[in-house]
Amino acid sequence: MKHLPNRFIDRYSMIIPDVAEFVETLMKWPRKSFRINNIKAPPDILDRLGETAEEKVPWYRHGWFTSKTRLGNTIEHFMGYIYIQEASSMLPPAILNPRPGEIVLDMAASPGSKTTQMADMMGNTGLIIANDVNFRRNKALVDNLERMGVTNTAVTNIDARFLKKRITMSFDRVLLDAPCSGEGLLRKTGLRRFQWSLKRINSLSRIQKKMIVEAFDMLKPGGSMVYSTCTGAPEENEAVVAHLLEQRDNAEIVGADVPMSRKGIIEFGKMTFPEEVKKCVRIYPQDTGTELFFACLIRKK
Amino acid sequence: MPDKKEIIEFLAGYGIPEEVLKKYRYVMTSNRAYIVSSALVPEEHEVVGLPVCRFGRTLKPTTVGMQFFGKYVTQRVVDITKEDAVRYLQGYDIDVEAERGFVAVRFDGDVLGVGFSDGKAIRNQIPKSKRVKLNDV
Repeated sequence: MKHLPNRFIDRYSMIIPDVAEFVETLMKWPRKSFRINNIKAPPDILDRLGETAEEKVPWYRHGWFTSKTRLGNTIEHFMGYIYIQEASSMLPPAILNPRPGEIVLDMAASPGSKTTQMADMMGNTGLIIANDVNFRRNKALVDNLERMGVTNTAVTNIDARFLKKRITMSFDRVLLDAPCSGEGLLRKTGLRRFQWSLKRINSLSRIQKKMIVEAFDMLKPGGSMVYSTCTGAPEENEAVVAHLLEQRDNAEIVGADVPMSRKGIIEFGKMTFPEEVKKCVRIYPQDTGTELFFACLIRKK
Repeated sequence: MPDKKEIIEFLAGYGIPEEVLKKYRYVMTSNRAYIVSSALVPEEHEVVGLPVCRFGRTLKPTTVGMQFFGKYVTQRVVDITKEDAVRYLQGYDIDVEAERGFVAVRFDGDVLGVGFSDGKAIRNQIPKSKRVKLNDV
C-alpha cells in the first residue's frame, strides 16, 4: 500500500505540533456538508430537511453538516434548494462577504460552488464575473449556475493571468481560489493517485504569485480580495501573500475571525514572511473534520 | 428571433406577473432567452444569466426557468402525485391529463419543470443530465 511521502510529513512537522493527528485525519473522509441556497429555497426548507441539517458550519450560517448520504438524489437537490459543498470551501466567500449590488470577480470559478454561494450572499443582484480557463469545467459551472437559479453572473473563459487585459472593469471584491497542489484533497484524490512533489509545488507557486498580483490590480481602491487554496504548502500560501505585499505597498492583510482556525505561519525552513501574514487563516482537518484550507483577506488601501 | 416583449408575454401565460418578468434584462442568443439581474454585462462572455426560454419553431420554457418562477405559476400547470413525480424525475413520460402544449409540472408545491402535453399524457422534457432517481423509493 502506498504511504504518504516522508518529505510531506516532515514538512508538516515544521508547521504544526500535532502532525500525527493531522496525518491520521487526512486519511479519513471529511464530514459531509451542504449549503442552503436562499435564491430558490422555500421559507420552510429547514423543516423539510429535518434531521438532515445536523450541525451548523461554524463560518457560514447557511452551511450544515450532515450524516445523510446520497443528498444528490433528493428533490431539494434537484430543485436547487441545497448545494452539496465541502464545509471548508464555504470559507472564502464567507470571509470575502460580497454584498448586494457589488461587482465581483471569481477568477477560477469552476465548478461554481463558491460562485453560487456568492450569488446567494448578494441576493442575486450586482454582477459576478465567473471565470475559468478550463473550457470543459465551465460546463459544470454553467449547469450549477442554472440549477441554483443564478441571474447575476456572466461566465468567461480567459487565462486568469491575462484577465486584466481582457476585462476592463474594476471590482469591489475578487475571489482567487487558486489552482494548487491540493494537499487538503488527499482523501478525495486517494493515496494511489496523490502525486506530490516539491517541483510541482514550486511551479504552482510561480503561477499563483502572478495570479495574486493580477487579482489585486483588478480591485477598486478600498476593495477587498480573498486568496485561498486547499493546500498547506507555505510556498503556495504565505509565500504568495508575502509576494503581493512586496509588489504592492497599498495591499494590507485584514484579520478574519474564523472559529477553529489557526494563524498563518511566518517562517518555514529558510523562508521568512512578514508578521502581518499571521492574520491569514489555516483550517486543519484534525480541528474541524473538514478539508485542509488556507485563506487570506486582503484590502486595497 | 423573438424580442423581450414576446418572451414576457409567453411566460406571463403561465400566470407569472409581468411586473416580476419586467424586472430583468433579457439577453438573446441564437436559440435561447436569458434573464439577467445586472445592468452591467461584460462584452466578452460565454454565457450570462439564467435561460428561461428556448426558441426554434416554437417558444418553450426551460426547466430551470420554470423552477425559478415556480412560486408565481398559476396557469398552464398540472399537479402530479408522488408516484408520478418519482417517475417524471427519472425521465419517464406520465399518463396525466393536462391542457395541450407546454405545461408546468408541479409536485407538492414545487414546480419540477416543463412537460409537453397532448391532452392525455405528458411527454418528459427534463434534460438527461438533470434527471435523478430519488432516495427512499
